Amino acid sequence: MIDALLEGLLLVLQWKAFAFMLLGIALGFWVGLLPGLGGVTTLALMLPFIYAMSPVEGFAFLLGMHSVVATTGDITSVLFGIPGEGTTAATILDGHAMAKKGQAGRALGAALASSLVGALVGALALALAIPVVRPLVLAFGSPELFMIAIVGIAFIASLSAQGARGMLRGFLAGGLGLMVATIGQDPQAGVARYTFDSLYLWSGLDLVPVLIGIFAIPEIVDLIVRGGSIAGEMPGGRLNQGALEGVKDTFRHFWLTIRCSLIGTFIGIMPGLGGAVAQWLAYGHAVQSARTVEEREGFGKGDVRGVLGPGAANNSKEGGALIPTVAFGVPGSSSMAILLGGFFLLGLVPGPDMLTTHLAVTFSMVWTIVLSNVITVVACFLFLNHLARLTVVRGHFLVPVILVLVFIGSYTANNHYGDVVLMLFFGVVGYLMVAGGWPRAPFVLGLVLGKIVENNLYISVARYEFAWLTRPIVLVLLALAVAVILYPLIQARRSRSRSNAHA
Amino acid sequence: MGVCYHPSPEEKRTMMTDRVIFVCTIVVAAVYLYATTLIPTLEIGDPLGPKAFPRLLGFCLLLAAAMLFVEMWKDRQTAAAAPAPSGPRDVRHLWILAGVVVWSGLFYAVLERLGYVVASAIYLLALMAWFNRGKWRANVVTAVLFSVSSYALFAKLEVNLPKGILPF
Repeated sequence: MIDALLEGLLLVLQWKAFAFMLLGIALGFWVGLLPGLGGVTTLALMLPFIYAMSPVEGFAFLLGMHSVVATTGDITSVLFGIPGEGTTAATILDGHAMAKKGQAGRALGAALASSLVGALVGALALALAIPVVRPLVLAFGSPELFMIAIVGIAFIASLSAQGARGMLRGFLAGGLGLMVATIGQDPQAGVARYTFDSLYLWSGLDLVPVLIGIFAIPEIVDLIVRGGSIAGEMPGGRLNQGALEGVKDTFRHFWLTIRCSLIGTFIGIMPGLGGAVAQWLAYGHAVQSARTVEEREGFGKGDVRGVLGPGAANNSKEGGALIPTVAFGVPGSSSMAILLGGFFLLGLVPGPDMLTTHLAVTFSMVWTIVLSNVITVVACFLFLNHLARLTVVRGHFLVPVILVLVFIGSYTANNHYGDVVLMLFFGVVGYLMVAGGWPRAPFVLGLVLGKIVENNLYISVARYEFAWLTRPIVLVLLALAVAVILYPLIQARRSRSRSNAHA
Repeated sequence: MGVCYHPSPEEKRTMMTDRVIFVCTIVVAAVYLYATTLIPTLEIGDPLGPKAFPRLLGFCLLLAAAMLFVEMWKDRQTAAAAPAPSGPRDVRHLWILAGVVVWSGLFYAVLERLGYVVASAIYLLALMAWFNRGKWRANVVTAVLFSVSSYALFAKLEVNLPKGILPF
């Protein structure tokens, strides 16, 4: 285990992997600062460029980018009062209030230091989880892997939207994703399914154009329509003044920062909740740490603890979220589902392999999170006074460049115009889903997991016939899935009978 | 506590969305199950066959859609009124979007003939002339630099882009 840990570090430090990581960091750095462009969109856009990379290089690039987005997103939240990322909105409450009081430097110092602590806690959790879940994962056969995918979809469906109808919407989205995944040859006999005699559909739909369509197109349409330039006012003064004070704050409230990091990690592990929830829970926890009424009323008006909590949690969740993704192949969020797509493009299968043969690759992910956050935070402190200028790039300048990237991404997968059409089709689907409040995450999870789910079901039945349903772990997972599905339905019934009693 | 319940516009909107989702799912599931019957069956020792999983999926989807219908039915009093119109969209925005789509279509059409560098430089220049009006020098520099440098980067990453009329 220790050997693999060191090997993972050496893998990341190879010059090529390291260079790709720096490239990823630079991208993530900038994307995090820009309010119009999100980390998930960029992850989908960058997926096609990892084809020629080795697994370690590919993950150094993607994770390097993904794991620093929340760090620099906090900066925009503090300086402008606009979230740089969806996951950094909670930092605004006290961070921007501090900036308005002339303490922008202190708020930035606190946000950066707590981000680093959070990222390290998350990475440590991932590293510690590997030996813990390994025996569990290795004891899993196809029946268990099938059930755990179902549980993952159940969780993401019921948590990504509110209430019973929200959950059912999630399920329908997940089911449609699974359906789309069955297009092409079936995994056993190679019989063509739903190809409608089109050679293009024979090999199934390529993940990249579909992911770009679903996740990038709606955001681009939004950018075109809305513009996306920052209208807020920059607080005056030199930003590096007081930054050290912010770092000291992190250590003054060290246990709070650690506790909020743990909250973020835990939320990351739970499928379906995602970073948007983690930051608010951490903020709530920070508010609870106030001992007196006056202290509590200071929150929202510039209490540094309101920066430390979400700052730590939105970074620590990444390490946590990688645990189920790597170990069980069940991603908990949209970004992890896209990352799972990256696994397949790089020729890796998440699950037992990642904890045995490819253990060093898994540990290289831990190191990538650590290194990229250290590099980012150090770079931020060095260039603190110039950071604000990076956000000046206007949305209108971005749109054309992103459009070219969208095109290259969908075209280069197979050099086929069909991919462009596919991307546009799913772009429309994605846009309509966003407009109608239909969650996209379950759809993508179903799409990415489809082939694996079917394969595991096939092996289960071929090997155990229907006796696989009586295996103990399968029964436990089945009970869990049923509980997750029934809970919102029972709640809806209760709230209805309550409102009838009132009426 | 009023006897009559007035749904908020937000509730009406989700009700409408649920109806659309319900109808879409039913149609897709029906087409899918029909297409499943078209899959040829092989007489080999495959315990499940290529149709089993899709069938299971199709029926689960119909079941979930039925449950959605039941939930909508139970909540029906909240949506007694006509569906709220989705907010009026700015017509100008639609024109801009349409323009971008058409221009992108043209770009795709000539890409293989002109090559990536030339086509994307022209494509970018026109878009920036519109979105980033009046800043000619910055636009030209960005368009040319981006297309050339991205081409070089992608060549390094072994991403093959059409060469077109340029010799390299």
